[in-house]
Amino acid sequence: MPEALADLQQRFGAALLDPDAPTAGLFRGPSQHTAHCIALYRGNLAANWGKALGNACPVLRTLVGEDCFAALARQYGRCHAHDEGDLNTLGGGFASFVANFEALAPYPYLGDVARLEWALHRSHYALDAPRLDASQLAAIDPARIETLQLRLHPATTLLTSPWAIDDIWFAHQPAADRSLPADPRRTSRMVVLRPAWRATVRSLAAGEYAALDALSCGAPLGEALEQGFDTDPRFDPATAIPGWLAEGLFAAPNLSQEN
Amino acid sequence: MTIDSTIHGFGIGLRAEHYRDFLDARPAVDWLEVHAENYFGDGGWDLHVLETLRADYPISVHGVGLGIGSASASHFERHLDRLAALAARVDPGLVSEHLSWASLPGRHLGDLLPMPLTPEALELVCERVERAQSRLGRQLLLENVSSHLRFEADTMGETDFLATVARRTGCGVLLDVNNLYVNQRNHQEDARAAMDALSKLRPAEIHLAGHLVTEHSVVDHHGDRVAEPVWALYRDAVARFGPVPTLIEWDTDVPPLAVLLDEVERARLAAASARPTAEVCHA
Amino acid sequence: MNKRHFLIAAAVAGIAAVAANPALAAKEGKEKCYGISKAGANDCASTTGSHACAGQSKADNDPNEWKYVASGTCTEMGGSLKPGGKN
Repeated sequence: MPEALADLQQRFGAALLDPDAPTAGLFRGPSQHTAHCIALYRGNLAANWGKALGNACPVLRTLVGEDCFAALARQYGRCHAHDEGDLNTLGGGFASFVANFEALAPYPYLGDVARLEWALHRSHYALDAPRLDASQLAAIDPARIETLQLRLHPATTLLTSPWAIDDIWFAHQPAADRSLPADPRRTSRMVVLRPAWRATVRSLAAGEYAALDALSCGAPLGEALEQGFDTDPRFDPATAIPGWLAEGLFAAPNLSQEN
Repeated sequence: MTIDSTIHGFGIGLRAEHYRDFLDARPAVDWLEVHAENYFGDGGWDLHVLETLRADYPISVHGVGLGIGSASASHFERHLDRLAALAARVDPGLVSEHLSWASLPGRHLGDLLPMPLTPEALELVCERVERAQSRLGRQLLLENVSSHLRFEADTMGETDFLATVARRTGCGVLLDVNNLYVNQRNHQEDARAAMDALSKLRPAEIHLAGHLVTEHSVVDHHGDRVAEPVWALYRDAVARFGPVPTLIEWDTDVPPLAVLLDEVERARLAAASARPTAEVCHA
Repeated sequence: MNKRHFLIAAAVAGIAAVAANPALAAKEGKEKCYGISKAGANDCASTTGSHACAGQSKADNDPNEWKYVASGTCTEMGGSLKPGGKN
């Protein structure tokens, strides 16, 4: 009875994840040669993981350095059973993996940097849904503005962190207009957005963040604006809202549901 | 405006590094091939570029993650849905995948792993190809892969296997000539005999790429110009099968587009210089 | 009530200002997207020998703590920190 296909693949796959897994009799050729060839596949796997995660988290890679990042990617790839045939989705659990990785405990902001980069990565691939624009809002009876509910565009994500991850991210951009913070201990609030095709980050003041956060949770506009103002009285809807529209932060209302 | 999606002539694999070259001008290649999974997102820049170029170039969609020969493939139907959605969006001239496996139960390994070439595997691959063709509503091409290892359990050659799948399912053959050469070097398999095994099955597409010779194994790294022995095999393939749509692939250390366009010209010249050999592929 | 009215009035003014001058909102079409460098991670190549061999030694399966020592730009930010707080 020949060995079943599932068993042959299981044994090969096990050897790719664990160098100590037995492969005797599985492949043709001398055992030293097959061991080397299995290592080539194992290395290819790790390289694919490193490339996919590095693609999503280039700032994290620069922060920890190439060697450390490659080791993290290999460890994550081995520990995290990803069941998709699209490597662009591999990093869904990477931020929490990094945040909980013991050797990186002296750098507790790294997990949040990865979280920010993953939000950017997702924004890059997000649906090109129509944006809410000023004419749509202007057409609404002002009496209804207060109870209006808005939906974030699929490419928009709000984030907050106890660390200055916005400064850290900006300091690593090609046209860096911020330098690395000397001390990363500062609460940051930001929005990941994609005004056209390029996903980017904008830092938010506490009031604007509170208003957007309330809207993203389904609060009506009047209540959200009040939360923004209560958080910080400098929050001004007359300047914030034109900015939101220019940046396309919200999806166009689904007219079939609105009416 | 959309052009005729039929693939013929000489194409290159579209990579993000060259998006700008293609958007700013429309370099003279006959068609473009993309890796399907890089366009599996819901939207964004990559799909926007693909849909823009689609108006000027026939497109071939080349999957790398279906793992069609995986005994356990919990991702298979989900992946096929994505592939079908992309094909519906792009209306490609060709859709292709690899004769390989990729997943253990609940875990996709993200690589093109060589198949055990056994009767059981043949049954599974035929079933999966039929399922894929039915879901896609069109013919699928299946490509031979390069490998560092052959299973003790193998009972047939890779192109025998591929030819049988093609005859039984009606799928097409995507012949990667570089992979044939790599396997000739790695397993002492005769690349010309491997082409003989395809018999009268004319490939629907040919792939050409560079490889890297290392101490223990030849690596199909897609990071160099096509090597001379591979050009010789390519001329032989064109002599046997006639003109076949031919793709230049480059994935590692992607060079300026001009290098790829130069390789395309070399492929044109090689194909033109290939003399038909009468009756080579009689069954 | 006053506060809510004031905020809504500001919102309506903001909306009206943009609606009257769409140029304020129309950044959209202007971004040419030069230099978007994200390349998809999926391809069908094998990596080169030097990369590939990284996975071969048995020792590689050990924790190899030195590999997890961060050596990039994070070392410029004041070294060891305690997680979870601003203080």
